[in-house]
Amino acid sequence: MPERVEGFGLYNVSVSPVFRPASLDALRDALAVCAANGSRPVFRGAGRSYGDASTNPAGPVVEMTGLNAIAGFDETSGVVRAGAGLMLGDLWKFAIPRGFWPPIVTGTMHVTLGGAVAMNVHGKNGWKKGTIGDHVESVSILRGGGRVEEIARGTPAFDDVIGNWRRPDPIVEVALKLKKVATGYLDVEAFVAPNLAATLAGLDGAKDDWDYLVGWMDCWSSGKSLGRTVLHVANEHAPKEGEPRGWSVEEQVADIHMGPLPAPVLRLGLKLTAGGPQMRLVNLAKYAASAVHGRQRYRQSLVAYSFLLDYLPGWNEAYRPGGFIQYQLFVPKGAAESAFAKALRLQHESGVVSSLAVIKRHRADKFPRGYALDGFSLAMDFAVTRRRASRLIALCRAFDALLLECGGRAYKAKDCVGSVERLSRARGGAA
Amino acid sequence: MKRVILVGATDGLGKALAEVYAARGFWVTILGRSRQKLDALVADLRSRFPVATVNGIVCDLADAARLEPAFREALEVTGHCDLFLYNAGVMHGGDGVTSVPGLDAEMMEVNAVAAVRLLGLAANWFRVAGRGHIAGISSIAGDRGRKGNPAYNASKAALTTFLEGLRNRLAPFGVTVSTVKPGYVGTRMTAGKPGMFWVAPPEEAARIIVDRLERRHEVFYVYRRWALLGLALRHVPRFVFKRLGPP
Repeated sequence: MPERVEGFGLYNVSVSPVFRPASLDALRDALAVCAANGSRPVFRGAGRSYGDASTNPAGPVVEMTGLNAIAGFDETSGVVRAGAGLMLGDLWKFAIPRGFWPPIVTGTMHVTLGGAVAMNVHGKNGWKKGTIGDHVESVSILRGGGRVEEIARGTPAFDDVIGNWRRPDPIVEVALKLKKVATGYLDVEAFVAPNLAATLAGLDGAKDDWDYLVGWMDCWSSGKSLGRTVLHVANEHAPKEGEPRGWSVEEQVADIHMGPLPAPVLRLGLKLTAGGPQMRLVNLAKYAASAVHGRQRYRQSLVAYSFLLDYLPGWNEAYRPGGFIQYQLFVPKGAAESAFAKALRLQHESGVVSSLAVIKRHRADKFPRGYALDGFSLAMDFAVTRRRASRLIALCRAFDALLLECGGRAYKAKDCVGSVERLSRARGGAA
Repeated sequence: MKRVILVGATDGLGKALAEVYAARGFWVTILGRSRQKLDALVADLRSRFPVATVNGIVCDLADAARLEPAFREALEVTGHCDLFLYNAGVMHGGDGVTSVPGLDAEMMEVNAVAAVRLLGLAANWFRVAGRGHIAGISSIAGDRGRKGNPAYNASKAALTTFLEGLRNRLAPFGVTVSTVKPGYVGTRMTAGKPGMFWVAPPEEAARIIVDRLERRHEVFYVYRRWALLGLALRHVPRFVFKRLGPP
């Protein structure tokens, strides 16, 4: 029976028969059914791509989360071999007691390894560690005839798999080299940058001394404060005598503090503010609080620092019925200041301003299907509402034009409005 | 940000509706019979409204076997569907007293039977999606059976009743179903008809329809004043309507 399948932003939806194979044989059977029907399936991980990457407008979806077994782990090299459906959340819980951590993590732990490779995801350590493809040792693909083929890194075939979300043959297993960590903690430093130039300089200046770099930009700010940002940079916390190492799941989770309000109240609060002009105050308050506190240093567990999107489970539901979209601009370093300034001004002019925006520093992606470049990315959330729909889509198309103009890129995991395909067509590539 | 699949939009009101949605930057996928007209319209809308995403799917509504594939192709190019709008309709005039069974049946086929087939597919899709909007361009002509064109009246009455049933069926699933009842719209269909009044230019009618659909109105006339006439028409006693009813 067909089911509703949604992107994480809840704006993109499809009605698709969904296969949930729990084994390779079941996956082969599912693909045989699709082939017999003449339908081309879309492979879906945990459905955390914001847009239409894991929905299929007129065909079936194969959900890969059942193929989640950890097949092996080499304590010496740190290479873990696991099914493509293994969640990052299960991977870190497996790794941290052994003194390891995934080299790249997304803002949520609810992504699958296969999905992460197909999107070639990045994290807050994009400058130093690149994308997940940089840390994959091999991928196993289920070929057309039902044969599993392992492809090792360093080959053109491998490069073709990384970030190739269109593949008709699914990734079934991934060998990923984990990172050895001395403790499960990070030393975090939080400070504010009063404008866009300071934000970019702050991130760029910190990129060689800090592993993790991220900024929360207040898109409502204007004038001299345009692009003001709260920056968080972090490094691994060195072990100290008598201090816990933070290698247990309990210690990792203990650092997640939601404040005094229970989750349902927070969800209600989000429902009442999400996408509305009230978010201007939320952004202002966040910036002002950080500015008042001045430069702060604190220790935080890897989980608490990395997976902010998981603090309030189901937060995206607050954006129903219209859902929300995210647009992430990847811009070369030299063009970043003018491009981001223009992106912010476009929002002010259209009256559609991002409720939440995150800026990161990246290094150039070496894979042919890469999206990251030596520069910055600015990811912006926008609620989709009836009143602003026309202005929002015009804004997205203006962002497309901005990317074309400055040699920037869009990213399929965040694309909700067909920007990746439009940019590709405009640059003479296949849609 | 709406994604609209529009059935019957290469002429008249449908074309104007496509223009309004394209002008708002939305996704517009048009199902039409004539490849030539469709290509011309799609090219025109794409060049005038580059923000919009416009596509055309060739579909002859008389070809029942083509409807489901066309619906799937439309979904494929649209990505998903927020509004499925059935506008296709034909009206064959006559001398007002002679039935022409072939032409009458064609009106039933396009205005009602193909509508039932396509709207049924859309209804199933929306029910599972748990959201969305179905709309049909019916007519005030469906409010009563009139002596001038009984088959046309019947086809629009069928569409109106079918949409009402869908509305009741889909309400628990979060799906809105709208019935649009235009009066006279100045299109090729009505050109040269005597005795017309309150004629809405297609562009104006389209803008009104789109705005009211955006506000999720369920049943409405274009212009609003037709609602009064519709009310009166529906309540005129049969024996009076038989003697004095409009053609």
